[in-house]
Amino acid sequence: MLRRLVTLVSGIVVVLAACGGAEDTALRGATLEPAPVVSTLQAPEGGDGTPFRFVADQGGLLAVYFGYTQCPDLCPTTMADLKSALRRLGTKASRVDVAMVTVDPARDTAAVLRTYLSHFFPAEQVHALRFEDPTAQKAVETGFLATSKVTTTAGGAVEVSHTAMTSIVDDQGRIVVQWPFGTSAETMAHDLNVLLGRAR
Amino acid sequence: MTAAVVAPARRAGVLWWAVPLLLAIVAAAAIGVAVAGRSEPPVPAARYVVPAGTGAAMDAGNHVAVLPATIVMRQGVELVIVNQDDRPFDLGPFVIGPGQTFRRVMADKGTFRNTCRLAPGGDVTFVVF
Repeated sequence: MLRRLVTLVSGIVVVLAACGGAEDTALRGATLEPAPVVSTLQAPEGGDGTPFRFVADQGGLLAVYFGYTQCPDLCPTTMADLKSALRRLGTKASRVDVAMVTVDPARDTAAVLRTYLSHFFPAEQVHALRFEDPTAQKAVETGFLATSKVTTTAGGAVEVSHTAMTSIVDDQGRIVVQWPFGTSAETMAHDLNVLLGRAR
Repeated sequence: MTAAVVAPARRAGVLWWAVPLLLAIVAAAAIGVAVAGRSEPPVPAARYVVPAGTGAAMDAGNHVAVLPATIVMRQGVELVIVNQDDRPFDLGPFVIGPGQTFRRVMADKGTFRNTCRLAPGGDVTFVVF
C-alpha cells in the first residue's frame, strides 16, 4: 500500500511540475501599451538605398538601434552586449536581425556602416540603414521615440548626441520591448527568448 | 503465531508516519508551482497616473508633481506609469505617448537619476534596493 501511495504522490508532483511552467516569462525591458507601430516606416538600406521596412521576418524579431560608427562608448558597448545576448540564444539567434540607422550619415557611408555591423553580427542578419534626407531620418527617429543631433564645434570637432536605446520589433511591426543603454546581455537574452517563444 | 501478528502492525506504523509527509510534499509542490508559474513579477507594482490636462497645466506655469523627486523601490518591483494626457512625456531615455502605459521591472539595484518633467525639479531618482 505504501508503494502505491508513493507512486500516486510522485505522479501528482510530476504533473504539477509539468503544468506549472516555472519559466520566468515577464519581460525585463521596458514596454508600452499599446505598443508603438513602426511597420509603416522605411529607411534606405545599402549602397543603392533599397527601402527597408521595420518589420521582422515571420516568427522572428528585429533589433533596431540609432547610432554611429565613430561612437566611442555607447554604440560599441550596446552592439557588444547584443552580440553576447545573441550568442546566448544559440540556434535561435538566427531569428533575430539587427538594423542600425546611422545618425551621422555624413561620415557613415552604407559600406562603412555595414562593415561596422559585420564585426558584431553575421552579415546575413544585419541591415545598414542610412538616410540622405534628414527630414525622413527625423520622421523615422520620431516613430522609434528617438532623437539625435550632430554639431560641429568651432574647432571642427564633430559632436553627436543620440538616444541610446535598442528597440525590438516583432513580425507585426510593433515595438515590443525597449532596452536603454546599460541593459545587460543577460537581460537582452532573457527578453529575446521570451519573445521568440511567444512568436513560435 | 506471534510473528504473524506483529508484522502487520509494523507495516501500519510505517504508513501512518509516511502519509502526512507525502501530503506535505504534495502541498509544497503545489505552492511552488503556483508561485513559480506566475508570468508577472511576484511583487506589487509602483503605479503612477499622469492625469489628463497635465501638459496644459505645465504650459500655464502651474506646479506639477505627478512623480515624486525620489522613488524608492524594492528590486523586482514593476514601475507602471499611465499617461492619460493628450501629449507625450519623457522619462529619461523613454517616451510615454498619449494614452500609453509604460511598464518596466526595476531589475537592478542602484540609484538611477532620470530627467522627467513630471517630477518636481525636472528630475526623478529611482533608488532600487
